Amino acid sequence: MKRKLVTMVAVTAACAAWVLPGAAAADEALPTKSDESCLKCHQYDKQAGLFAGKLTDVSNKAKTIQLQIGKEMEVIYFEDATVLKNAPAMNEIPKGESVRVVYHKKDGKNFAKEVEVKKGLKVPPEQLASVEEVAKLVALGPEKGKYVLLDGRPMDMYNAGHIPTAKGMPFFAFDDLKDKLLPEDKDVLQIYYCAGFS
Amino acid sequence: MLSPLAARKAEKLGYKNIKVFHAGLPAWKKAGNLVVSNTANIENLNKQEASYILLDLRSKAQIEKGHIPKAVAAVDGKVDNLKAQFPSLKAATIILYNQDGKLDAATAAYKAIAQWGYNQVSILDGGFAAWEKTGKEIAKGPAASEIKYVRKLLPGEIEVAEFKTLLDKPSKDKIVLDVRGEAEIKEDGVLPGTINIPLEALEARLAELPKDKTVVVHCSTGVRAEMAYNVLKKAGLKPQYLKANVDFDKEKKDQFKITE
Repeated sequence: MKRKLVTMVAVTAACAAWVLPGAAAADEALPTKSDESCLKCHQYDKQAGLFAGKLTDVSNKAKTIQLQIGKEMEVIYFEDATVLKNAPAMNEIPKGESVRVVYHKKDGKNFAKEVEVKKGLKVPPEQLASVEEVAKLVALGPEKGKYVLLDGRPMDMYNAGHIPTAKGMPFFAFDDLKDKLLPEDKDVLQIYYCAGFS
Repeated sequence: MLSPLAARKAEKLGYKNIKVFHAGLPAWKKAGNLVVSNTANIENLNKQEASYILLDLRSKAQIEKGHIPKAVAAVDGKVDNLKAQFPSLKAATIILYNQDGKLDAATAAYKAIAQWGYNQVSILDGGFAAWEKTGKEIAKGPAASEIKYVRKLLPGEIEVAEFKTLLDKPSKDKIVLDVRGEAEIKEDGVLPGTINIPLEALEARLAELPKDKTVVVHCSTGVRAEMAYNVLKKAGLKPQYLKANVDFDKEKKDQFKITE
């Protein structure tokens, strides 16, 4: 049990939120490339000048970082002006970490304005629900168990398989669906879940 | 990770009693709990012309009166006699349904199939009644008695059977390229008659590949093979790749197993 808890905190969530406030402005004219897995939670495809994927290599000599984005590799230069977030130094970012890069063009090359390493979102322990807890409630049903269970994944994933009694509430449609799906009573238990840690 | 973000949004709306099931659906499944799917999913699968297995768990009379098109009869929830017809692909989409979607009635069949190792099993929420409500086509008479599951090949993918034949009887028109790393090959073993260029060196060593033959790529799982396929395609070749696991015997390195 103890080990499990440690892992839960240590594992960086595959789609942890980027800290958006203060993010460098992207160049509107530049293309964005993002790994599919990032798009589950981030609408990078609606932004410009951005690379999001897994870090595969850092060269301090060449001053480049290499990202794997889907099946493609992208090499991006960095410089002193590059802002690095959530890591002490470029060559200290563990390989395989999810990274988001805001870039611009200089002499035909892609230069990073900002490199941000993904940070897992922590949930306060008192807010964490266990499998057993959810299973007990689901067995009772929403009426007897007095709960609303909400699945935050995209709708096609919800359709293909979800926890019994859960309602589909894709995160990006939260604001559109909140009046329809959330209870009027502010004290009714709401449980949110998605695709887990990886 | 969406659920913590959604929880924060709900908190901002003034909700007081919020929890996050952070481990999510994978943990739910792993603990052996049931998963449900819905009619929109079946419609979606049909639209994509995707392969899936749909099992009708109701009585013979109910099935004959009307069932969901493409359903296979697992009369009275009995699935054991169908086991031999299940595909080797454990990630095959499998949907079970009964009359009204009551989970208790479908639990035994669900658990049996999950026990066989299938990891994309679900029970149709609302059952046959929910399908009737959609107004979509209903098939009458006896349902199919045999599972026919053929996974559609992705662009560039070679069939496992064809790949195996290729190893047994080398072809004039195809050569097999292994894109695993050198250390891996040394440690694990190698398939007969193949050439090796590690994926990371592939672009630099394209000249070593014959232009007049189809290059069929394999690795240990299919992931790197698919990447290599894309590299070769970009370079103007006509490649194919094997999307399957290639495992070597630890002792006898010339013994191997290819599984989907």
